[in-house]
Amino acid sequence: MSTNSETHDSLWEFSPAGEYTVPTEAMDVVRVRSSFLGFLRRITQGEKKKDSPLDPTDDLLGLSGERLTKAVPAPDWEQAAEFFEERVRPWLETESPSKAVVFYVAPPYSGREEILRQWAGANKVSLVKEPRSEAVLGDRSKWMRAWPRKGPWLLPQLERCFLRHASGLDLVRELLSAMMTGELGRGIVGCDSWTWAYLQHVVPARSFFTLSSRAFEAHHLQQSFGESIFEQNGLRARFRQADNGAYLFPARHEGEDIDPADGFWRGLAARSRGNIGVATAYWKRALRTLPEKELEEKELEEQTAASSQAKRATIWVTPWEDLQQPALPKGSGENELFVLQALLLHGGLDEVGLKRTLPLNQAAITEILHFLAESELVGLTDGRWYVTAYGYPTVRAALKTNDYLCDAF
Amino acid sequence: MEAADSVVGLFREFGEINLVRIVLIIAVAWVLLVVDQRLLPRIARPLPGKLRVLLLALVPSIRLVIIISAVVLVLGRLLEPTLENMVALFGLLGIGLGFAIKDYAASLIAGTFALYETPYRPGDWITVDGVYGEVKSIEFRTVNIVTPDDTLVLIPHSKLWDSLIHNANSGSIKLQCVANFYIDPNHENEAVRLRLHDVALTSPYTQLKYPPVVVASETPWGTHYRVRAYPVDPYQQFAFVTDLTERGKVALQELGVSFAAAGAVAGSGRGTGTQ
Repeated sequence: MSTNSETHDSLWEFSPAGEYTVPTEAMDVVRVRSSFLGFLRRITQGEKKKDSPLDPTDDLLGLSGERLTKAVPAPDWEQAAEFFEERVRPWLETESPSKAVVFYVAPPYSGREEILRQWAGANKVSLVKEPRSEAVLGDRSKWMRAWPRKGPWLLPQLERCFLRHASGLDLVRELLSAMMTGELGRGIVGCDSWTWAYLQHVVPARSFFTLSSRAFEAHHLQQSFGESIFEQNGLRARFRQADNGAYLFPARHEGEDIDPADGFWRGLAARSRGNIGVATAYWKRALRTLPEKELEEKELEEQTAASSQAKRATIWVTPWEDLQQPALPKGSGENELFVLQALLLHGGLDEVGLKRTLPLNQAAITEILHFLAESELVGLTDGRWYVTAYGYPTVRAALKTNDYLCDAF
Repeated sequence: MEAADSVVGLFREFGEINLVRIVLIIAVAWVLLVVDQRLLPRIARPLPGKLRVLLLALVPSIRLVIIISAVVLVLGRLLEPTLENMVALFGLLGIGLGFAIKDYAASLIAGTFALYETPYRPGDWITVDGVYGEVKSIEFRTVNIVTPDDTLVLIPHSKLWDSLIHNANSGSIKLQCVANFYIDPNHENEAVRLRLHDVALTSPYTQLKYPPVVVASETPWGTHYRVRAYPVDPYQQFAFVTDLTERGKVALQELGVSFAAAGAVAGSGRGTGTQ
C-alpha cells in the first residue's frame, strides 16, 4: 500500500482550511471495489475459506473496556499540539501580522479542541471562557468586557458563541467584526466546520485566515493505530483481519514475514473522511477477540506450531465492509434531520437550546433525541446532546442527500 | 340519404374486415399503454432529478405515438385506402373536430405542445386559474395536480392557449416562499429589516444556498415587509412560511414594533406559492 516515506511521514500537518481534501479514494470507489471483491470471494468461497485461520463457528467478542482502552489509546494530542505550535509560531512572532486572528476550523471529533487546549496549556495562552446563553441571546457587553487584554488568547469553541435563533446571531457578528478589525488583539479561534459553514451565510468571512489539520489517509490511520499496539503481560498483540487472516500492520521485527493488507485502511479512511475521531470509533468496533477459553487453546496451538519469538495475543479485526454503520431509524423524517443538523451546527446542544432553535415542542424534541439515541446516532454528555462519532458519517450523508447545509470537510 | 351512403361507402365490405386483427391491434396497444403509464413512471421515480423528470415527460409522448399508430392500423383495416376515401375521412374528421369535440381536440393538441414546451412537469408547483398544487401526472388531455388541501384537480391542457400558467419551481427544487409582515409605519426600518433577515437565516427550513431577502414598501395601512426565502424542499413551503411568520412576529414584538391593524391579520403568512 505504502512506501516507507509514506508510512513514516508526520501524522499532523496544518494547512489552510481551503486546501483540505478528504482521502483520495472516495467512498463509492471503495464500495464498488469491495462489492466486486466480495463477489469474487463468494464464487470462490471454498478455496478462500482455507485462508482464514478462524473456524467459521468461532464466536468473536468485542474487546472488554480495559483491553479496548489499551488497544486504542487516545491520539497523541501533545504531539499534534507541537505541530500546531510549529505552524503558528512564525505568525505569533511577527510584530504586526496582516491577520490578527487565526481560525482553526475542523470537523467534529477531529481533535481540534484537544489540540488547542493542549497548545494553550503549553504556551500559557489566555483562554476565553465561552459565553452563557444570556450573553448569546441578550446583553453581551459583560462578556465582551472580560476579553483578555493581552494576547495571544484562545477561544476554543466559536460554536458556543451563537445560537441559530433570530436573537442569537448578534454576538457572533460583533465578535467576528471585532476580530476582523484587530480590536481584540491577537488570538486563535477554534471553530467547528459545521458552524463555520453556517456562519459563512451570517457573516461572510472571506478575509479570515483559516487553518485545518490534514485528513488522515489510509496509511496515516495505519500508522496512527499501529503506534498504539499494546503490550501486556508479555503479550504483544497482533491484529489480523477476521475473514482472511491478513495482518493489519507491517512487521515490527526483523525476520517477521508480514505483508499487511491495505483494503481495511482504505475503507476506513473513506468512511471516516479522514477524521481520526470517527475512524477511531469504527476501529474500536472492528476489534474482536475469541472467548477466553478458546483463546487459550488457540494461543497454545499457535505457539506450538509457529516459531514465533514471543507469545502474542491476536486481535481479530472485522473487515471494514462488514462493519455495521448505523442507519437513520425507520420512521425518521424532516424533524429528525432538523435535530441532527442543529446538533452539528452548534457542536452539541442541550434540550433548551434545541427548543430555542427548532419549531418543535419540548416533548417532541425529547422523543426524537431518545429515538435517535437508540440507533447510536446521538449521545448525551454533560447535559448536552451530540452526534456520535460512530453516527457522524451516517448523519452527514443523510443531511447531504436531503440537500441540507453541510460542512466542507 | 346520399351522404349516409357515401359514409358507408368509405368502409370495406363487412366480410373483408379482419376483426381478429383489429382486436389484436387494440389489445397490443392497450398493453403498451399500460406499460407506458405504469411501468415507466415506476422506473423513473427512483432515478435522480433531471433524468427522472425527462423520463416522466416521455410518458405522454410515447402514449401519443401508441394511440396514433393503433388508430392508423385499425383504420387501414376498416377503410379502402383510396385517395377519395382518405379525403372524405379527413373531411368528416374535420367537421367532427370543428363542432363536436373541438375542446377535446384542443386539449389533445395543447397536450402535445406541453410535452415540448414543458410549461409544467411532474413535481412542479403550478397555479392555473387560481388553483395551486403539485403536478402529479400529465395525461393525454389534462394535467393532474393535487392541491395543498389534498384535492385532485384535472386541468385541461387547452388552458395553455388562454390562461396564465404560474410555475413556482419549473423543474427544480428551488421554490421561493414569501412571508408578509404589516407594521405600523412608525418604526426603525433597518432594525426591522435586519431582524427579519435573521429570522429567515435561522429557520431550519431555509435553503441557505439562496440567500434570503427582505424587501419593504409602504401601503396605506402600514409598512409591508416581505421575507423572500427558499425552503430546502418544496414540500416544506407551507411549514416554512408558518415558521417564518411565527418567529418573525415574536422577533418583531421583542423589538417593540406595533403591527398594522386589520391588514396584518389578513395578509401575513401567505407564500407566493399559495397565492
